[in-house]
Amino acid sequence: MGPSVAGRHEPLSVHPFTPDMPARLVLVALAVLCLTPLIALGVMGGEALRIGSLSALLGDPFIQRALRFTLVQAALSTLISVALAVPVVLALRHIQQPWLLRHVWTLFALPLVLPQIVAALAIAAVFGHNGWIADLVAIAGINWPSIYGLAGILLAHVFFNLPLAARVFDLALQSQPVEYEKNAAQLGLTGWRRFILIEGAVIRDAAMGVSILIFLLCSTSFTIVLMLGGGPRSTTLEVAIYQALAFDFDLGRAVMLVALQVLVTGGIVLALMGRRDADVGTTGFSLTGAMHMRAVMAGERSGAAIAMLLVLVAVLFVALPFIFIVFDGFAANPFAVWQRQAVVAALLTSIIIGLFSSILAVFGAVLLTHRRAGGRFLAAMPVLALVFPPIVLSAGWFLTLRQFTDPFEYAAILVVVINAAMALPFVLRIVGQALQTHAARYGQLEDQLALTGWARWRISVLPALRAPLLVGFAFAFALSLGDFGVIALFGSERLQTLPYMIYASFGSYRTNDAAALALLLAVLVFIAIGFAEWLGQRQTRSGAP
Amino acid sequence: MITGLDLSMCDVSYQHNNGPRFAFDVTFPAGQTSVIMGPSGSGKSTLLNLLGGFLKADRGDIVIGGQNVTHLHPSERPVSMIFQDHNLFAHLDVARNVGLGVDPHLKLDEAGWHHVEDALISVGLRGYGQRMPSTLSGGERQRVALARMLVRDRPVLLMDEAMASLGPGLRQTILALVKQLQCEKRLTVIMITHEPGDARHIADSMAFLADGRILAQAPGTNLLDSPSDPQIAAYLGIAG
Repeated sequence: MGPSVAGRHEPLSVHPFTPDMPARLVLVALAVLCLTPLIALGVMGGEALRIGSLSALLGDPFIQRALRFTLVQAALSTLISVALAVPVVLALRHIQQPWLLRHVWTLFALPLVLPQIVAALAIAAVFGHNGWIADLVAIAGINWPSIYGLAGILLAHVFFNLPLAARVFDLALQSQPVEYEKNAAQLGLTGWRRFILIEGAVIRDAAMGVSILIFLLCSTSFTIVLMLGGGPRSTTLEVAIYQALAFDFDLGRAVMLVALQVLVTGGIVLALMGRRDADVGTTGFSLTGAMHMRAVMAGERSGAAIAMLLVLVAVLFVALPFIFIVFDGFAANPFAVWQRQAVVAALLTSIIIGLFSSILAVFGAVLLTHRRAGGRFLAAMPVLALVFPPIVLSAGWFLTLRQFTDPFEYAAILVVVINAAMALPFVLRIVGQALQTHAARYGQLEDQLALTGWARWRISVLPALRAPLLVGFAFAFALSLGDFGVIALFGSERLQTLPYMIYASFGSYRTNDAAALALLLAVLVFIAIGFAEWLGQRQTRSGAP
Repeated sequence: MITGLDLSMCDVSYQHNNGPRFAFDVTFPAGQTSVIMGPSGSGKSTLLNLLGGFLKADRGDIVIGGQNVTHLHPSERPVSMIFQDHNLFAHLDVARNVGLGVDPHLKLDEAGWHHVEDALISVGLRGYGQRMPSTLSGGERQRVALARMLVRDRPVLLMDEAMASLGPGLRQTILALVKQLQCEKRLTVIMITHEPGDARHIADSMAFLADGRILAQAPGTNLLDSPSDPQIAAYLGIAG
């Protein structure tokens, strides 16, 4: 006796009487934020983009090379991350100890929240020419090459995205019915045939979505390329935009590059939206999510040793940069660095910007979930956001504001708003899903009991959703703390955040300062995330089913 | 003392996106228990959701006890609805869950809390006030929902497969409780179920839905005993 299906597929979660004005306002604000600079650039660029100069710009070997390198490094990063994630996730399924598995997945979740600027620093120090690995192989007389350029970029992108792909594959494998495994056992399927039938099919389906996501992430990668690219030979569109504005002040070129960037990512996203499974944002950005792992497979002893070795290599690869952050950070006499007045000021600036933008992001996400229609749009939002990466938005607004005033006057507000917009899709995933589940369960009940407005929030929503709201808030806070894409253009002597300061130290070879500051930033980010996770878990334990 | 109200759906029409169209033109008599049966997708839940105000009719009027409620918010309708699951907020204890029926802001005076405890006693849950929903059985949770229905004091009770997740024994006791409350309060009850046994136990009249329409409506359990339509016979699994 299954429940009747009729009437269940309607959006009962949001009542037909609920006003969706606030949600529309948020959408309008987002549209203004994203489209204003594009329109303004189009108008301004009219001059620069006359047919003659357009073809000249398109024929510009520098722009051509930047476009080619953007696509090539993104494709290679995707290929390596996804290809390596398959053996890693299969090996992980051989692990029998739940506690070990839990720790591996926790470790794999860490790169998702690590600020890119800290990761770039750590990867240079671990795998670089003067890094730990180089020192190690030097004993054997091997000369370790420099990683600046494509190699460094790929290393960093794989560091971020291999765990992501592995996590997506693992979730896909877990969503298989247990009966598959039982059937396979009953039918006596083993080894390769079993893999083709069970894991292979699932991984193939999941690989498409996660590949597109990783490709988009890598083709809009800014901080990593700026830090590890090491020269004009390996410059992406994003970095070229930054250089055109920050150093050459070539407005025409900047406009052209922004247009190209939006065309490239927009094209990919458009192609993606045509697919039915456009919801590639399902990537489990929560540490809590990673804790839900369980050992599924009854072990096939034969592969166990190789599996353990693979897992060890993967774990070392992901863990080494973190070990560096702690080790070199503390070796750099951090407490002296942290006490400097400029550092304290940057720390406070970072925290204030982070607080404002995360409050704004959570608020926007909450309002957006009250939208009656447009579930498809909300699901696609994380991907849509990739069309407007931070550097495009900040460059656009920088160029637009320049027409009327000194853009640095509005730097703080823009950094807050753009960071909030960047965090919004992720917060929407965390908070929005919880809110929608809650509304689907209790929406009718709330309506019937006249639980509306503040009473609804106080009695029904806030107590039940404290955990996802806090996690969403913490995630937005962490993202904003680690941002470098926005502050890179808007930062100045007057407005310095921690990542801005790290970049300045790194650029002027004050590696000690950079390491100490990176440690501070990483600690802050993980305190924020860890605190939210802890509160969330405490509530889940004490709360109801 | 509340008395039963009759419910009428006058040429009510509803369609979601481009899904099937539902059309209801029916009256449920006052102070009686009407049991609704029909295959999945036939529109049983849609009908109840329209009555409860959780869906808005495209056309037609819904009249309860002479009052046109078509444009009223669910909380303003003289109706309590009990769902199959999730009738209780998991983070609130039993007393507060019932207390929400007295005041949605949970600002109850002593008399209010007494009222809550009385309702819990009526459904056989004396002293359960401090318990959390997670510690209750499925049957006990539905009893709490009934207690809240009592304090809300609405003359119409809608039950959307409210016993679908209960075992046969529990169904019997909940049905008996519903029957008893219905008699005491002169409630009008409309209940969706897939179980002929439920209908035999409680139905004053029955309606059978198919393809988004009322196919038949008859007093007592006539529809079960002598199905007038081959679709009904097929649904019940009776050759014939």
